[in-house]
Amino acid sequence: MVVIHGWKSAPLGRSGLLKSITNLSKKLIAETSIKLDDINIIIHGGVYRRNFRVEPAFATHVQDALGLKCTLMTQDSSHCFSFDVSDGSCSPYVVLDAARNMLRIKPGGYCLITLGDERPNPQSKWPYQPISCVMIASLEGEGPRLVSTSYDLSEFDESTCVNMTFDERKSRNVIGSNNAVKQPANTTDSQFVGKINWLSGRHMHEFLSQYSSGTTNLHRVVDQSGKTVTATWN
Amino acid sequence: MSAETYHSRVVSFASYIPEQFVPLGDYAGIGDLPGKLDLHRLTGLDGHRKSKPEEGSLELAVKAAEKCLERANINAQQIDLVVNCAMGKIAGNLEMHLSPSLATLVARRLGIENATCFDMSNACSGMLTSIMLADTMIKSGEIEYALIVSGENVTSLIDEAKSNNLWLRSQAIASLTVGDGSAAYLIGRSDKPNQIAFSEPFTLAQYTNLCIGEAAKKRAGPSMRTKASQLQQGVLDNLGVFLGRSMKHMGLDWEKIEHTYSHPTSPKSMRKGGRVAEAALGQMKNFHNESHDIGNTGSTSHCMLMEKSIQSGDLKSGETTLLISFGSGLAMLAMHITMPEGIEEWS
Repeated sequence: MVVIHGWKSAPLGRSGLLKSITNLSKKLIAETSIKLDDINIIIHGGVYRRNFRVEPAFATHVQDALGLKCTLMTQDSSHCFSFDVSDGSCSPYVVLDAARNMLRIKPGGYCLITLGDERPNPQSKWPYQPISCVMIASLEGEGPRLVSTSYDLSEFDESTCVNMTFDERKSRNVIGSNNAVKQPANTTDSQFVGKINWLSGRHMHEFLSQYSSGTTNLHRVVDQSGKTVTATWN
Repeated sequence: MSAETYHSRVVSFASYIPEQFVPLGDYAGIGDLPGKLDLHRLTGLDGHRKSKPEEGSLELAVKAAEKCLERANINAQQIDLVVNCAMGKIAGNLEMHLSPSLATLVARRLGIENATCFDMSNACSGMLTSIMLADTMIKSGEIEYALIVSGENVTSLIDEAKSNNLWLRSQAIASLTVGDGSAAYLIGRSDKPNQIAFSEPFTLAQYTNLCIGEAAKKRAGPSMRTKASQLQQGVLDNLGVFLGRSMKHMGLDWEKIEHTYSHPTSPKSMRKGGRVAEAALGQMKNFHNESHDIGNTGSTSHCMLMEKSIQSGDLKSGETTLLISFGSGLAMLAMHITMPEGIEEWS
């Protein structure tokens, strides 16, 4: 079980993903009255980064931008650990599950969760309207509680995989074209299902915006590849 | 660590080391580099392994995973978690896989139907970070078996680097030290405690911009730019304290550890690191620095070195091994494991 102490989201403007996530994180930390130094873990979830960057993890850039425990190591210095995880649009729950496990390793503190994507370059087609979303999570406390997650890859269709490919005409690496599975038609009233073309940040933004305990506590994310995750909140 | 219900262990591991060896002189001879730079003298490298054209990150990862599962003698359906931690996820044709996780494709190729699958990104520390997460999930009882894989198809970085004027783009020179290969670990429940232990995990983000991997400009595939000496200095400045804290955290006696493997950015940098470690904590029993013919293979590097040790008969069942990981970011993490039973029979 992992508890969300607070969250903030905003459409990605012209400032870029790192600035958007950093600004949201600073505002959230101020609003939740959590000390910056109490954050021991940063985990980012998302697929698309500027110029298809893969190294280092985006979360390390967030840690640097926040100036969080960026000091030489001493025998008793406190430090943060940052990394990224992803699985298409199911990334928010992969991140939340990773946060729960990391909080067992570094107990007593908080995990800053960041979700977001940005257009890799102007040459890539970009049908998305990304939303950056940040959350502060811990194992205990007040707030929405993620009770369980269930992943299903039985409907995964390999033809839907998205690749970076080289466009000879543009002389640039771009997002390749891909298929997508169909939007699921039938859902129960108690289940919130986002659109199949939403990216990670938007899925969490939309769910948390309408979430209230005791009403819609099931969140189902269907990735355009057919993979799904169903999450139960309390 | 809190909330431990079960114990965990490394059930098996395996690495696929491509057969084709490319000597350093074929791509980074003294005449090829600025100022008659001698890359062999600078790094201690003799060359690297190169995958076949049809072997991308996925195919490499599957080869290691199949070998790993065969060594463990378990059914693919018993696996609850598949994590891929390759950095670039580059196919043989230099396309890069983006979504969903490459781990899903690995699972599909192996016939794993009911596992949670995701990709981890933490540069060269991705493997140990993934194993640490899997270890926690096993110890809490959430899962029973986890397969962690990586296929690094990265030698196109060498061609990209050489397409630049290296006088002007000296940060591309570190790309000449990479090699292809793959690795897989199977982690599972254990009856015995203390078969796997981890250091405190650290990210020293003040060094985050010293090594950047992203899409190449005006050519297919990836590029990498590294301020290698600054990054190495960042590691060396923190290494002694990191190892001291790690021994304390894991409750280990440094001098009793039978084998030590560090992330091999190059054989010469490992020697430097080894000197810092021994100055801080004392002599190591067996410090493995055998990357001269495989290069820096990113997240697969420790497993590649251990595979070489198995082939040479250096590793025995029950021996204790310390893996020390550094990844751009700068991530620092160490893992102490007991070698699985039956390792002497692994072919």
